[in-house]
Amino acid sequence: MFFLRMAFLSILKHRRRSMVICISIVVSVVVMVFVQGMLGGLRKSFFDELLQDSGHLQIHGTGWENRLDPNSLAVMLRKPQMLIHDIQADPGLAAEVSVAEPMLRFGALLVHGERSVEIAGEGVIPETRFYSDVRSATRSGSFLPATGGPVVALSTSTARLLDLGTGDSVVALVQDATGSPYYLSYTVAGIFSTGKPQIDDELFFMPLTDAQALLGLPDEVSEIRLTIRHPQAAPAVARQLSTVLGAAHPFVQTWGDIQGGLVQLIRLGDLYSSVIDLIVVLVAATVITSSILMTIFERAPTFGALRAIGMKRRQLFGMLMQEGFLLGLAGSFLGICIGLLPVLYLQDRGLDVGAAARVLGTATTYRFALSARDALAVAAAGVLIAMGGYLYGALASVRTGLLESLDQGV
Amino acid sequence: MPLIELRNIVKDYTLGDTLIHAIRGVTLTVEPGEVLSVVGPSGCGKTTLLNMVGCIDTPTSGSVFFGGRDTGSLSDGALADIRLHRIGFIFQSFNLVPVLTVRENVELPMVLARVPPPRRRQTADRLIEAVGLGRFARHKPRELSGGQRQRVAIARALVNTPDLVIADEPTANLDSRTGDEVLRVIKGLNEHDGVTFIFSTHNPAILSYATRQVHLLDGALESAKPEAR
Repeated sequence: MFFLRMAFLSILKHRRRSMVICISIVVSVVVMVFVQGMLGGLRKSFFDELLQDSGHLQIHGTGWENRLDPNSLAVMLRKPQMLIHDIQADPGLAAEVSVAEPMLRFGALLVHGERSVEIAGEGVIPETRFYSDVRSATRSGSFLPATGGPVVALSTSTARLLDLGTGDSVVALVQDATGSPYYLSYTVAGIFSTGKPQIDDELFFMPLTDAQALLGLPDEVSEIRLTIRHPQAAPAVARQLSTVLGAAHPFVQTWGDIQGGLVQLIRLGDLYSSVIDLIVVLVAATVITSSILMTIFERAPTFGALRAIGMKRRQLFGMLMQEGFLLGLAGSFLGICIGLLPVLYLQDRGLDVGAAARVLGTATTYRFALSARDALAVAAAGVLIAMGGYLYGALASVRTGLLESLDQGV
Repeated sequence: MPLIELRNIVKDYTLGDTLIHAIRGVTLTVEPGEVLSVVGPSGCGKTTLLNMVGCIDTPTSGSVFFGGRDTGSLSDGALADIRLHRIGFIFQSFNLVPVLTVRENVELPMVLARVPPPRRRQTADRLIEAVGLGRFARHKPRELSGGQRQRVAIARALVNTPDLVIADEPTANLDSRTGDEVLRVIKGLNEHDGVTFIFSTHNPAILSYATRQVHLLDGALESAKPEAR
């Protein structure tokens, strides 16, 4: 405590130097908080929202990867409930898989009066645990109620294009499993607006059984979508699924395959963040080092006196590092406080990224996100920057000869 | 056994291309309880000699024995331990830590010696009272006069009850009245507590405080004659 107090008093004594060091830490922490907040938003959107929609794993029929039409009905999985039963019967998979649901994706033309729109339909079980963002973003009506006849849920933009409201009828025209055109009429049960163009502009939803009836595929689906407890274990689970479902020859995709582009984008973002952080750390550490070195000579007689009265080199080193620690702590605290202001603002209000949302897989309003863990990591980095900057100065101090420090010659 | 024994010590410095012989074969012993003054003109090697006695510097050749141990064979850490536990330093320019109060400056060697805080405080307060600075315990060094600072340095030098106190020109930065005060404190501690003192000076007026004086000229001893108290 005594040395900590000495360090604290030394910081106060050399206010100008301490200020320069503190400011360099604050600036570096603010930059790191901002970059982390920006990338945290992308990660949050990816892991908490996008993967909630697309699942961690998708099981498709054999040859699915070679289809030309993304909504092709040529490659289907038969008897999906049996496959799900096989998954649940395997102890290893049952322990890992938390959600397994059949899905049926198809292309359709929605028609209302003289208006029509070409769009993809997604047949899901009404109580689906995927698309929770769609369910929560339902602005009017409700998302696929279990009762009440054939229904669909549309986005606000689709409903506007077709001039539809909840309770209105809309016709879904499809090319069924035989290749023949077929249509049925549905009631608009819910209208949603997620803010994500890849959902709002491209999808509408209907109960799975209605979709199967529309397409003439009574016991077939285009995929089984899975959520697992440990997303990082997706490749291993995929291999296990291929083994367990071997007879069905399924094609299993992990989230890394499904969202390959975004995964690359996140990796690039992480690399970009690392480079920015490295530059910031180097600049701050250089400022701190040069600042502390400037005062080494000034404080040398004090260091010399301390060593003359019995302070060991390591104790002097420890005292200076404690000084760095204290300044790092103060700078980090201030940096976090200042850096959080824009991050929290952009977390609450978001940033309009417009068409880039499709590339980023986010909503058009891109929201920053900074977890407590990331904030703590940045704060720790701030402390380490200060201590790293002090390291050279502290080493130089303890390596200086005792006589040299005391400024006593012959 | 002598407290200090210097055996033919030599100290050379290189200054650019010039070799400077700071100490030329000094042999000297100091017994416990002595007050030894090292006298000589400026630049004669007094500080260099005291630095070697105080384990701050090492001789180019020869040996320094402290309490019978050859300091040349000791590690940096062991020398720091000797300086901490067995030697007290009073520097010409005081060398107090400016950010600490008088009490904290006096406590500092005890902190390094890991003395428990209550005993630390008690000892510091007793010594601060002994040097007559009781009411300045919470002051910073910059708030004190030169003589007061030197008395803080004396208290600091004594906190770990050292065997030897080395004072390098203890009155050089003080006026004659304050210098006398400081020397009276040193003499009192020697007489009452038996503390061994070695101090350097080029001021003949303060030699009466020493029990023995040695004269240094151009790095060599001229004589080592006993003085009456």
